[in-house]
Amino acid sequence: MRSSLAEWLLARFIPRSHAEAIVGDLQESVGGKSGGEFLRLILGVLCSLAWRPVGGFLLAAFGGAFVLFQLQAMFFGSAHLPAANALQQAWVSSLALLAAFLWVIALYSSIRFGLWDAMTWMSASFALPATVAVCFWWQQWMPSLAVGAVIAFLISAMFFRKGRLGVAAVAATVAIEAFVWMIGLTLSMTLLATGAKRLGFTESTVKTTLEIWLPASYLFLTWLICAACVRIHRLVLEGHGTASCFSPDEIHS
Amino acid sequence: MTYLLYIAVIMNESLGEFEQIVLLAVLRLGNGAYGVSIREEILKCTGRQATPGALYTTLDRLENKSMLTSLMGEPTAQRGGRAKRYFKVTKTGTAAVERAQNAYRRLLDGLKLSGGAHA
Repeated sequence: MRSSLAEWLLARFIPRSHAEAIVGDLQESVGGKSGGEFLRLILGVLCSLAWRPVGGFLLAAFGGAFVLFQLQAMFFGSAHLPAANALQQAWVSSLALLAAFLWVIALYSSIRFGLWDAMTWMSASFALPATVAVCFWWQQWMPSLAVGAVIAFLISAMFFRKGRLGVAAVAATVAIEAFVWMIGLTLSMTLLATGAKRLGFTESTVKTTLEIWLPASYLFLTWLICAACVRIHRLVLEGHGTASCFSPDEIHS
Repeated sequence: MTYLLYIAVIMNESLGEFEQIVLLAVLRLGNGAYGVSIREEILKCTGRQATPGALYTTLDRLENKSMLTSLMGEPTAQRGGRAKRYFKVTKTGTAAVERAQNAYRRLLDGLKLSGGAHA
Protein backbone atom coordinates (compact mmCIF):
# COMPACT_ATOMS: atom_id res chain seq x y z
CA MET A 1 0.00 0.00 0.00
CA ARG A 2 2.69 2.47 1.11
CA SER A 3 4.89 1.53 -1.87
CA SER A 4 1.98 2.00 -4.27
CA LEU A 5 1.38 5.46 -2.81
CA ALA A 6 5.09 6.26 -3.06
CA GLU A 7 5.06 5.10 -6.70
CA TRP A 8 2.03 7.27 -7.46
CA LEU A 9 3.66 10.32 -5.83
CA LEU A 10 6.93 9.84 -7.74
CA ALA A 11 5.00 9.34 -10.98
CA ARG A 12 3.77 12.97 -10.67
CA PHE A 13 7.30 14.08 -11.55
CA ILE A 14 8.86 11.27 -13.59
CA PRO A 15 7.59 8.57 -15.99
CA ARG A 16 5.65 5.74 -14.30
CA SER A 17 8.22 3.07 -15.23
CA HIS A 18 11.04 5.13 -13.68
CA ALA A 19 8.99 5.64 -10.49
CA GLU A 20 8.34 1.90 -10.34
CA ALA A 21 12.07 1.15 -10.66
CA ILE A 22 13.00 3.67 -7.95
CA VAL A 23 10.46 2.21 -5.49
CA GLY A 24 11.74 -1.29 -6.34
CA ASP A 25 15.34 -0.14 -5.71
CA LEU A 26 14.43 1.39 -2.36
CA GLN A 27 12.50 -1.72 -1.32
CA GLU A 28 15.54 -3.79 -2.22
CA SER A 29 17.87 -1.43 -0.30
CA VAL A 30 15.71 -1.37 2.81
CA GLY A 31 15.16 -5.16 2.82
CA GLY A 32 13.77 -6.17 6.21
CA LYS A 33 14.39 -2.79 7.87
CA SER A 34 11.61 -0.65 9.35
CA GLY A 35 8.98 1.21 7.35
CA GLY A 36 10.43 4.46 8.69
CA GLU A 37 13.66 3.93 6.74
CA PHE A 38 11.69 3.37 3.51
CA LEU A 39 9.64 6.50 4.18
CA ARG A 40 12.81 8.54 4.82
CA LEU A 41 14.36 7.39 1.54
CA ILE A 42 11.16 8.01 -0.44
CA LEU A 43 10.80 11.51 1.01
CA GLY A 44 14.43 12.25 0.12
CA VAL A 45 13.91 11.13 -3.50
CA LEU A 46 10.60 12.99 -3.70
CA CYS A 47 12.19 16.25 -2.51
CA SER A 48 15.09 15.88 -4.97
CA LEU A 49 12.72 15.22 -7.87
CA ALA A 50 10.03 17.74 -6.94
CA TRP A 51 11.90 20.92 -6.12
CA ARG A 52 12.84 21.72 -9.72
CA PRO A 53 9.35 21.29 -11.28
CA VAL A 54 7.62 23.02 -8.35
CA GLY A 55 10.21 25.81 -8.00
CA GLY A 56 10.26 26.35 -11.77
CA PHE A 57 6.48 26.55 -11.93
CA LEU A 58 6.26 29.09 -9.09
CA LEU A 59 9.03 31.24 -10.57
CA ALA A 60 7.44 31.09 -14.04
CA ALA A 61 3.96 31.91 -12.74
CA PHE A 62 4.94 34.85 -10.54
CA GLY A 63 7.86 36.04 -12.69
CA GLY A 64 5.78 35.95 -15.89
CA ALA A 65 2.92 37.90 -14.29
CA PHE A 66 5.38 40.42 -12.81
CA VAL A 67 7.09 41.02 -16.16
CA LEU A 68 3.79 41.42 -18.02
CA PHE A 69 2.38 43.88 -15.45
CA GLN A 70 5.60 45.88 -15.33
CA LEU A 71 5.86 46.12 -19.13
CA GLN A 72 2.20 47.07 -19.52
CA ALA A 73 2.50 49.64 -16.71
CA MET A 74 5.61 51.10 -18.33
CA PHE A 75 3.74 51.58 -21.59
CA PHE A 76 0.26 52.58 -20.48
CA GLY A 77 0.87 53.98 -17.02
CA SER A 78 3.68 56.42 -17.63
CA ALA A 79 2.64 60.09 -17.80
CA HIS A 80 6.00 61.56 -18.89
CA LEU A 81 6.30 59.47 -22.06
CA PRO A 82 4.96 60.64 -25.44
CA ALA A 83 1.50 59.34 -26.44
CA ALA A 84 1.64 56.25 -28.62
CA ASN A 85 -0.17 56.07 -31.94
CA ALA A 86 -2.36 53.07 -32.86
CA LEU A 87 0.48 51.26 -34.64
CA GLN A 88 2.88 51.73 -31.72
CA GLN A 89 0.21 50.57 -29.27
CA ALA A 90 -0.33 47.42 -31.32
CA TRP A 91 3.33 46.42 -31.69
CA VAL A 92 4.39 47.35 -28.17
CA SER A 93 1.46 45.44 -26.59
CA SER A 94 2.17 42.39 -28.74
CA LEU A 95 5.89 42.57 -27.98
CA ALA A 96 5.21 42.91 -24.24
CA LEU A 97 3.05 39.78 -24.42
CA LEU A 98 5.74 37.93 -26.39
CA ALA A 99 8.40 39.04 -23.89
CA ALA A 100 6.25 37.75 -21.00
CA PHE A 101 5.76 34.42 -22.86
CA LEU A 102 9.51 34.12 -23.36
CA TRP A 103 10.30 35.02 -19.74
CA VAL A 104 7.86 32.35 -18.53
CA ILE A 105 9.82 29.77 -20.57
CA ALA A 106 13.21 31.18 -19.52
CA LEU A 107 12.35 31.27 -15.82
CA TYR A 108 10.81 27.80 -15.77
CA SER A 109 13.60 26.32 -17.85
CA SER A 110 16.35 27.91 -15.73
CA ILE A 111 15.14 26.00 -12.67
CA ARG A 112 13.80 22.87 -14.35
CA PHE A 113 16.65 22.21 -16.78
CA GLY A 114 19.43 24.48 -15.49
CA LEU A 115 20.97 27.82 -16.40
CA TRP A 116 23.13 26.39 -19.17
CA ASP A 117 20.32 24.56 -20.90
CA ALA A 118 19.73 25.45 -24.57
CA MET A 119 16.05 26.25 -23.90
CA THR A 120 16.94 28.65 -21.04
CA TRP A 121 19.58 30.35 -23.14
CA MET A 122 17.50 30.74 -26.27
CA SER A 123 14.36 31.96 -24.51
CA ALA A 124 16.31 34.46 -22.37
CA SER A 125 18.26 35.63 -25.44
CA PHE A 126 15.05 36.50 -27.28
CA ALA A 127 13.23 37.77 -24.17
CA LEU A 128 15.92 40.31 -23.36
CA PRO A 129 15.82 42.34 -26.64
CA ALA A 130 12.01 42.15 -26.61
CA THR A 131 11.93 43.53 -23.05
CA VAL A 132 14.44 46.30 -23.84
CA ALA A 133 12.43 47.21 -26.96
CA VAL A 134 9.25 47.57 -24.89
CA CYS A 135 11.05 49.59 -22.18
CA PHE A 136 12.35 52.10 -24.77
CA TRP A 137 9.47 51.89 -27.27
CA TRP A 138 9.38 55.65 -27.99
CA GLN A 139 12.97 55.69 -29.30
CA GLN A 140 13.07 55.72 -33.12
CA TRP A 141 16.04 53.33 -33.30
CA MET A 142 14.64 50.77 -30.85
CA PRO A 143 12.64 48.47 -33.20
CA SER A 144 15.58 48.14 -35.61
CA LEU A 145 18.03 47.52 -32.75
CA ALA A 146 15.81 44.82 -31.22
CA VAL A 147 15.19 43.12 -34.57
CA GLY A 148 18.93 43.34 -35.34
CA ALA A 149 19.84 41.73 -31.99
CA VAL A 150 17.32 38.92 -32.51
CA ILE A 151 18.58 38.23 -36.07
CA ALA A 152 22.22 38.27 -34.90
CA PHE A 153 21.44 35.83 -32.13
CA LEU A 154 19.41 33.64 -34.46
CA ILE A 155 22.28 33.45 -36.94
CA SER A 156 24.84 32.66 -34.23
CA ALA A 157 22.54 29.94 -32.86
CA MET A 158 22.46 28.28 -36.30
CA PHE A 159 26.17 27.41 -36.00
CA PHE A 160 25.51 24.85 -33.24
CA ARG A 161 23.24 21.81 -33.20
CA LYS A 162 22.12 22.65 -29.66
CA GLY A 163 21.50 26.24 -30.76
CA ARG A 164 19.28 25.17 -33.67
CA LEU A 165 17.37 22.71 -31.49
CA GLY A 166 17.02 25.35 -28.77
CA VAL A 167 15.49 27.82 -31.24
CA ALA A 168 13.08 25.13 -32.49
CA ALA A 169 12.10 24.20 -28.90
CA VAL A 170 11.47 27.82 -27.90
CA ALA A 171 9.47 28.54 -31.07
CA ALA A 172 7.29 25.48 -30.50
CA THR A 173 6.73 26.36 -26.82
CA VAL A 174 5.80 29.98 -27.62
CA ALA A 175 3.30 28.77 -30.23
CA ILE A 176 1.71 26.38 -27.71
CA GLU A 177 1.79 29.08 -25.04
CA ALA A 178 -0.10 31.54 -27.25
CA PHE A 179 -2.65 28.84 -28.12
CA VAL A 180 -3.11 27.81 -24.47
CA TRP A 181 -3.63 31.41 -23.33
CA MET A 182 -6.04 32.23 -26.10
CA ILE A 183 -8.19 29.10 -25.79
CA GLY A 184 -7.72 28.72 -22.03
CA LEU A 185 -8.75 32.23 -21.07
CA THR A 186 -11.71 32.19 -23.46
CA LEU A 187 -12.90 28.86 -22.04
CA SER A 188 -12.32 30.00 -18.48
CA MET A 189 -14.36 33.19 -18.94
CA THR A 190 -17.13 31.33 -20.78
CA LEU A 191 -17.27 28.78 -17.97
CA LEU A 192 -17.49 31.52 -15.34
CA ALA A 193 -20.19 33.41 -17.25
CA THR A 194 -22.28 30.25 -17.76
CA GLY A 195 -21.88 29.21 -14.12
CA ALA A 196 -22.75 32.66 -12.82
CA LYS A 197 -25.87 32.76 -15.03
CA ARG A 198 -27.05 29.29 -13.97
CA LEU A 199 -26.40 29.88 -10.28
CA GLY A 200 -27.93 33.36 -10.42
CA PHE A 201 -24.88 35.25 -9.11
CA THR A 202 -25.27 38.91 -8.23
CA GLU A 203 -22.86 41.49 -9.65
CA SER A 204 -20.83 41.62 -6.44
CA THR A 205 -20.63 37.80 -6.24
CA VAL A 206 -19.38 37.67 -9.84
CA LYS A 207 -16.77 40.29 -8.97
CA THR A 208 -15.57 38.34 -5.92
CA THR A 209 -15.56 35.05 -7.85
CA LEU A 210 -13.59 36.68 -10.65
CA GLU A 211 -10.90 37.75 -8.18
CA ILE A 212 -10.31 34.09 -7.34
CA TRP A 213 -11.19 32.61 -10.74
CA LEU A 214 -8.72 34.67 -12.80
CA PRO A 215 -5.58 33.92 -10.72
CA ALA A 216 -6.64 30.26 -10.47
CA SER A 217 -7.07 30.09 -14.27
CA TYR A 218 -3.72 31.82 -14.72
CA LEU A 219 -1.98 29.30 -12.45
CA PHE A 220 -3.68 26.36 -14.16
CA LEU A 221 -2.74 27.63 -17.65
CA THR A 222 0.84 28.31 -16.53
CA TRP A 223 1.01 24.76 -15.22
CA LEU A 224 -0.17 23.49 -18.64
CA ILE A 225 2.51 25.60 -20.33
CA CYS A 226 5.19 24.24 -17.97
CA ALA A 227 4.04 20.70 -18.82
CA ALA A 228 4.26 21.55 -22.55
CA CYS A 229 7.73 22.99 -21.94
CA VAL A 230 8.89 19.67 -20.42
CA ARG A 231 7.34 17.64 -23.25
CA ILE A 232 8.93 19.79 -25.96
CA HIS A 233 12.28 19.76 -24.15
CA ARG A 234 12.10 15.96 -24.01
CA LEU A 235 11.11 15.68 -27.67
CA VAL A 236 13.52 18.20 -29.14
CA LEU A 237 16.50 18.59 -26.83
CA GLU A 238 16.89 15.35 -24.92
CA GLY A 239 18.58 12.44 -26.65
CA HIS A 240 17.01 9.03 -26.39
CA GLY A 241 19.25 6.06 -27.02
CA THR A 242 21.77 8.08 -29.00
CA ALA A 243 25.01 6.36 -29.82
CA SER A 244 23.99 3.37 -27.72
CA CYS A 245 24.27 -0.31 -28.37
CA PHE A 246 22.07 -1.28 -25.41
CA SER A 247 19.77 -4.15 -26.24
CA PRO A 248 17.35 -6.18 -24.09
CA ASP A 249 19.55 -9.30 -24.55
CA GLU A 250 22.24 -7.66 -22.45
CA ILE A 251 20.02 -7.33 -19.41
CA HIS A 252 20.72 -9.43 -16.31
CA SER A 253 17.68 -10.37 -14.27
CA MET B 1 27.48 36.46 -28.99
CA THR B 2 28.44 33.29 -30.83
CA TYR B 3 31.23 32.82 -28.29
CA LEU B 4 28.77 33.13 -25.37
CA LEU B 5 26.46 30.62 -26.98
CA TYR B 6 29.41 28.28 -27.54
CA ILE B 7 30.37 28.62 -23.85
CA ALA B 8 26.77 27.79 -22.87
CA VAL B 9 26.84 24.65 -25.00
CA ILE B 10 30.23 23.61 -23.60
CA MET B 11 29.11 24.23 -20.01
CA ASN B 12 26.02 22.14 -20.62
CA GLU B 13 28.14 19.25 -21.85
CA SER B 14 30.84 19.41 -19.17
CA LEU B 15 30.64 17.03 -16.22
CA GLY B 16 30.43 17.72 -12.50
CA GLU B 17 32.36 15.62 -9.98
CA PHE B 18 29.38 13.48 -8.95
CA GLU B 19 28.37 13.00 -12.59
CA GLN B 20 31.84 11.62 -13.31
CA ILE B 21 31.60 9.28 -10.31
CA VAL B 22 28.21 8.00 -11.48
CA LEU B 23 29.37 7.50 -15.08
CA LEU B 24 32.49 5.65 -13.92
CA ALA B 25 30.42 3.44 -11.59
CA VAL B 26 28.03 2.59 -14.44
CA LEU B 27 31.00 1.82 -16.71
CA ARG B 28 32.53 -0.45 -14.04
CA LEU B 29 29.28 -2.35 -13.53
CA GLY B 30 28.80 -3.08 -17.24
CA ASN B 31 25.42 -4.66 -17.89
CA GLY B 32 24.44 -4.89 -14.22
CA ALA B 33 24.17 -1.17 -13.49
CA TYR B 34 20.91 -0.20 -11.77
CA GLY B 35 20.08 2.07 -8.82
CA VAL B 36 21.11 -0.24 -5.97
CA SER B 37 24.26 -1.62 -7.60
CA ILE B 38 25.42 1.87 -8.63
CA ARG B 39 25.04 3.15 -5.05
CA GLU B 40 26.95 0.13 -3.75
CA GLU B 41 29.72 0.56 -6.32
CA ILE B 42 30.11 4.25 -5.42
CA LEU B 43 30.28 3.35 -1.71
CA LYS B 44 32.80 0.56 -2.36
CA CYS B 45 35.11 2.66 -4.54
CA THR B 46 34.85 6.11 -2.98
CA GLY B 47 33.51 5.51 0.53
CA ARG B 48 30.80 8.02 -0.34
CA GLN B 49 27.23 7.22 0.68
CA ALA B 50 25.27 8.68 -2.24
CA THR B 51 21.72 9.63 -1.28
CA PRO B 52 19.08 8.04 -3.54
CA GLY B 53 17.69 11.49 -4.39
CA ALA B 54 21.04 12.79 -5.62
CA LEU B 55 21.73 9.57 -7.51
CA TYR B 56 18.40 9.39 -9.38
CA THR B 57 18.40 13.07 -10.35
CA THR B 58 21.98 12.71 -11.61
CA LEU B 59 21.10 9.57 -13.58
CA ASP B 60 18.14 11.42 -15.18
CA ARG B 61 20.27 14.46 -15.95
CA LEU B 62 22.95 12.30 -17.59
CA GLU B 63 20.28 10.53 -19.62
CA ASN B 64 18.92 13.92 -20.73
CA LYS B 65 22.42 14.89 -21.82
CA SER B 66 22.53 11.65 -23.88
CA MET B 67 25.42 10.38 -21.79
CA LEU B 68 23.44 7.47 -20.39
CA THR B 69 20.69 5.32 -21.74
CA SER B 70 18.30 3.20 -19.70
CA LEU B 71 16.21 0.12 -20.26
CA MET B 72 13.67 -1.62 -18.04
CA GLY B 73 14.43 -5.20 -16.95
CA GLU B 74 12.10 -7.95 -15.85
CA PRO B 75 10.02 -7.57 -12.64
CA THR B 76 11.35 -9.58 -9.67
CA ALA B 77 9.56 -10.81 -6.54
CA GLN B 78 12.39 -9.50 -4.31
CA ARG B 79 11.39 -5.98 -5.33
CA GLY B 80 7.64 -6.41 -4.90
CA GLY B 81 7.17 -7.29 -8.58
CA ARG B 82 8.91 -4.13 -9.74
CA ALA B 83 11.34 -4.01 -12.64
CA LYS B 84 14.92 -2.77 -12.46
CA ARG B 85 16.01 0.16 -14.60
CA TYR B 86 19.38 -0.67 -16.12
CA PHE B 87 21.80 2.02 -17.24
CA LYS B 88 24.48 1.99 -19.87
CA VAL B 89 26.99 4.69 -20.78
CA THR B 90 26.69 5.95 -24.35
CA LYS B 91 29.57 6.91 -26.62
CA THR B 92 28.87 10.57 -25.75
CA GLY B 93 29.13 9.71 -22.04
CA THR B 94 32.35 7.75 -22.49
CA ALA B 95 33.88 10.62 -24.47
CA ALA B 96 32.79 13.17 -21.82
CA VAL B 97 34.23 11.16 -18.93
CA GLU B 98 37.49 10.60 -20.86
CA ARG B 99 37.71 14.32 -21.57
CA ALA B 100 37.19 15.17 -17.91
CA GLN B 101 39.69 12.57 -16.70
CA ASN B 102 42.30 13.71 -19.24
CA ALA B 103 41.88 17.27 -17.98
CA TYR B 104 42.57 16.08 -14.41
CA ARG B 105 45.59 14.09 -15.64
CA ARG B 106 47.00 17.14 -17.43
CA LEU B 107 46.52 19.22 -14.28
CA LEU B 108 48.29 16.60 -12.17
CA ASP B 109 51.11 16.25 -14.69
CA GLY B 110 54.44 17.19 -13.07
CA LEU B 111 52.94 17.89 -9.66
CA LYS B 112 54.67 16.39 -6.63
CA LEU B 113 51.89 15.22 -4.35
CA SER B 114 52.15 12.87 -1.37
CA GLY B 115 51.86 9.88 -3.67
CA GLY B 116 54.98 10.98 -5.63
CA ALA B 117 55.44 12.84 -8.89
CA HIS B 118 52.86 12.24 -11.62
CA ALA B 119 54.37 11.47 -14.97
